[in-house]
Amino acid sequence: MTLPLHVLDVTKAFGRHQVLSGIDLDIEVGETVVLTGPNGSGKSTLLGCICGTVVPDQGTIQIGGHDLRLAPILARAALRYLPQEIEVPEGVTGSEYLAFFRDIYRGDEPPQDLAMRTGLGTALHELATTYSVGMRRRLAFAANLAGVMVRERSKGRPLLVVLDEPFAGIDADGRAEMVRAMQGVLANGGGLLVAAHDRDLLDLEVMKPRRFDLAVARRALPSP
Amino acid sequence: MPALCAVIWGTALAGLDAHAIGTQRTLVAVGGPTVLLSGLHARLYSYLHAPWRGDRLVQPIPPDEHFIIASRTHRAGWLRSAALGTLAIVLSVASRLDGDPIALGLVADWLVFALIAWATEPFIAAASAWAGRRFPSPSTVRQLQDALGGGWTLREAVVHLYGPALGLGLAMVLALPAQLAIDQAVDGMPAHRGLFGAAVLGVAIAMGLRWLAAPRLYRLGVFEAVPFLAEATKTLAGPAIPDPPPRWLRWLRDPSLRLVVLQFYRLTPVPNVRLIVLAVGTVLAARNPSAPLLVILAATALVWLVPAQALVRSRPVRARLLAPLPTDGSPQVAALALLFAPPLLAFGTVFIRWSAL
Repeated sequence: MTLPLHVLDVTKAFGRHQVLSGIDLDIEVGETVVLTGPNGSGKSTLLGCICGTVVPDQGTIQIGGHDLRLAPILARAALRYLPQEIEVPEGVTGSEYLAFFRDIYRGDEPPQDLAMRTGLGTALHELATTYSVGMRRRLAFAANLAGVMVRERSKGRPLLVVLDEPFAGIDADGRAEMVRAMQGVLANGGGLLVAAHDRDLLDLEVMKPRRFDLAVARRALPSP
Repeated sequence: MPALCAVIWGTALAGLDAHAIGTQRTLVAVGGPTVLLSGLHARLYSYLHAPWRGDRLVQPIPPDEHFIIASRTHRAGWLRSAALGTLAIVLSVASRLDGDPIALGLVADWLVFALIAWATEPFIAAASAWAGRRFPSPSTVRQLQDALGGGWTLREAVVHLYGPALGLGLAMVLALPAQLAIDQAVDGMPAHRGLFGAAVLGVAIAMGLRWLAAPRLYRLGVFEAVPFLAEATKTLAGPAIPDPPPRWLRWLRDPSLRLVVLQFYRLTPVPNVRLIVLAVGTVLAARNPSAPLLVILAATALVWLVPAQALVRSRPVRARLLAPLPTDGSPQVAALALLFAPPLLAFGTVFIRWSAL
């Protein structure tokens, strides 16, 4: 069965500083994995490797069965990534931002469904650069779920949603809304990889996540 | 914009009769400030307007440090504008520079003005910082703020509407005696002691404003003026609801390309007007083959192209947005092709037309 994420023996060093070494990680369909570890343990590097913004020194990464190196477009089509810091392009409104993601992922849900998911109301007609941190995160989260609930299930391709500290700047209602959407992703055959701090784990508990502690993985590294 | 203004200014100067001395001097007196005015906001941006200035105010950085850092940005921008202006005027009188005192005098007139503008421009920002504060009521400054604002922006931000024009006017007034003294010397008239004294005084006042007054005024006002200006910008802008994008944008099938073109339409001023200006330049150049009209066509092409710098500035954010998405880099190439298509079409049309004549 095709996995949303298959990571095998991924290694990454920046200069002489070995950040990741021989990392193996699989995420099953319907599974949530929480990536934990203290600052500097390599969470962002691993997420970067998985999302294609950092190139690993060795190892294999497959997303939805597609090798990230050999089939970069197909692998990215099966990936949704919510970064820690949300940057929105200048001159684009919230609704145009949503439409862009919907077109990129060829989502076939009605635009108003995506708009509803943001909970931003009429603010969607305003330039997204004027949004607060929390509003940007809600917008980007909804945008990244374009096409997730309908198309991926019909095509039978598992999908990986990667969330880097998704609850930063989000109020309690917003967090509950996001968790419901995450459950929807899992129900539609996706897998979740969430980088989170301990304080966020309570919100994720309802999805019975598996913890993957990079600090533990680092202890296995040979000393330099 | 300074490059465009310099091109137009230089072309106009080059087209004048060498004997029309008065017209040439007038054109230097008017065109020089225009070249500097076109880049003034960008040069002064770092003093009070830049978002990063507001971000840095929360840190314990002395106001003098803010002034010095902003002055570096100003100096770099001024050097660019001054170099462009100098290049324009030197090229326009290049054939006469060898031994013609009038041509040399025109260059000197410009250089004197540019030097005095360099000194007075930071003073504009500093005076705006001082006047961009909340003054007690009743007070003369507060009454002035109310009277000049018209009630449609914050009274504390009113000074920013008038500052640049007043500052540039001040530079022109301070430079005038020195320019007149140069022109009198070029014309072989006897040196007038009073005029010479006024010229020295003008330069001395400009330097005093730059080195003595500006840092003090800036120090007094920066911590209040920057937040008030940011508040006024938000109030003035209102809700950030832009105009709908052009309908033909839907014809572009690639979402990444559509995003870039949408940004071009939103981030560059009056794109349709700029396109019409380019079309007019093309028609003029195609009808009447001449070097000045070709220069004007080049200028209109710059009018179309130069504002696209905004897209270059936003490129890192776009790149980070697109990196994890299922798209390759080809839309950027297509966007570049779209951007350069109108000027290429314009020059192609003119070339074909001229070849047929």
